[in-house]
Amino acid sequence: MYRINIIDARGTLHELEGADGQNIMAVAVDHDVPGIVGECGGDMSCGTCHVHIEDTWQQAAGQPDADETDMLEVVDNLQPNSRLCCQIRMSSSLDGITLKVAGTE
Amino acid sequence: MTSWTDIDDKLTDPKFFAGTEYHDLFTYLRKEQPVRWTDSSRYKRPFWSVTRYADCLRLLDEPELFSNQLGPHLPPSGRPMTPEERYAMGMDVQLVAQDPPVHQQMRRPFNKYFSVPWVSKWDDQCHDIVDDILARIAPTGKADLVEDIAAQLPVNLFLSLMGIPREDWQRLRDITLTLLHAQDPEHNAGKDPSTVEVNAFKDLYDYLEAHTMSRRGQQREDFASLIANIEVEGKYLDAREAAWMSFAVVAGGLETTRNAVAVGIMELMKRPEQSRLIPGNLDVCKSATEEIIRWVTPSKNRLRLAMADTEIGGQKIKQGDWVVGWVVSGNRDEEIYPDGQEFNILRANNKHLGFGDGEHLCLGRNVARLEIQILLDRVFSAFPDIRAAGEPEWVASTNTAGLKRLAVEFTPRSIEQVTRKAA
Repeated sequence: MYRINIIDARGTLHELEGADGQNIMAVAVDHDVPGIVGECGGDMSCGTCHVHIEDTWQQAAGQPDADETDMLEVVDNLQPNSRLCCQIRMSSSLDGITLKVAGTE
Repeated sequence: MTSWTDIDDKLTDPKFFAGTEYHDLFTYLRKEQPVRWTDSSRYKRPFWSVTRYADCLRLLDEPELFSNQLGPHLPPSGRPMTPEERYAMGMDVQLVAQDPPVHQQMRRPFNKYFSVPWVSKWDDQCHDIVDDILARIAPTGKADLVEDIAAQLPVNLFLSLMGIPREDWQRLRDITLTLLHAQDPEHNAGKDPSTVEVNAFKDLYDYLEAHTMSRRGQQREDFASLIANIEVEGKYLDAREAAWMSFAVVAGGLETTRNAVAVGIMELMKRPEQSRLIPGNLDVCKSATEEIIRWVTPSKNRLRLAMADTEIGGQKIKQGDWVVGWVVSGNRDEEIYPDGQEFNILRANNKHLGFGDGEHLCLGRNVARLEIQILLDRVFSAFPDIRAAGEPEWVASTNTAGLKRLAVEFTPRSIEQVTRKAA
């Protein structure tokens, strides 16, 4: 299991664990992290798992592919470090990743 | 309980579904024969009826095995469609009738325009339309729940979003009513329901093809322009693909939403201890919306074609069999919802099948949610004592679940009291 640190819109830190290959949205939804809804179940069609990756983790998290970039065009609060966290799967290189919930209420 | 012959007959009888008593039959089927070969003299083609949640989910989540090529639901009469009729209904290009990999190639470019962030831009537009709805009825103290309230928001919103001229709205609405209720004698005047359905399809298609293609090369803000100018795999949609996409946007969103909200408001009117929680409470509006979709399941069955021999619920399915997922039954499955026969707007963890699941998950689901949440909040805020003033009349259909009409009454209010513009 790998560590995931998610800071919600109120500044509350959620220290979670995800299995190898598990996407961060699924872990966040399992733990009721406010602001991560994952309404489409991870299909990149709803825009409700938008996060900002902390600077030191951006390279490890990687860049969004063309489909994810397309969906990110419509989210609120889009930034260079924006990702849809249903597309980030946990691995040893992401152990301890820190990110912030980006969506507005 | 009646004989199995009677049960098969009921499952193919639109009149049996006009009301709510059919839920008893599904409760029986889930227990006694959850996957049943339904063979009725009323319907020319037998099919598997699948009634449990887990089995319905398989039909939705395994698109390689269970194909959408037949179309979204059981056709209205048991007469198989001719190749000409299938072409006339756009089965070769409609999203609902596509399978992997073509389906996702066609659908993916549209997803973001139906995402939660995009749809939320229409919040003000929805409230403006609701202002007009409420202003028309508030001083009178009475209305028809379906025609005057539930039908008005989806029809006005989608036709507006599509950029369709106002003078054409009533004509288009009449066509979609016929289209979705072809089995109902009020809409088919005794003619063969499949013929009625095909003719209504053609009427809507012809209009939308002309309207959509008129937008090609233009950069207007409406959906018709989006569809006319979007690129799928680097190319524009051809005229038929574009027309049928417009068709899906118009027909898919209009009556299903109206049906869900009308029955939902009817159920809430009977339960003031629940309806009084709604005004001004977004969380309750959201959970109420999900419960209404579960309870009503505006599109009751989903049709699939088995592409290989397989097994569901202990029954052997042969390649070529028609397999019908009765999602309206899955949404009351005791294994998932032990209290599923209770209507509860505070229900949590409500992973209903009312919008389907898997890659064909309803594209318009977030639009429907926005509309229903807003209508519930505004109607129960404006008319806290709204109540039925007659008996509901149900649509007779094996697919659509909804009301034709229901008179309601409430304490009259002034326009200023119920609209936001005056605030």
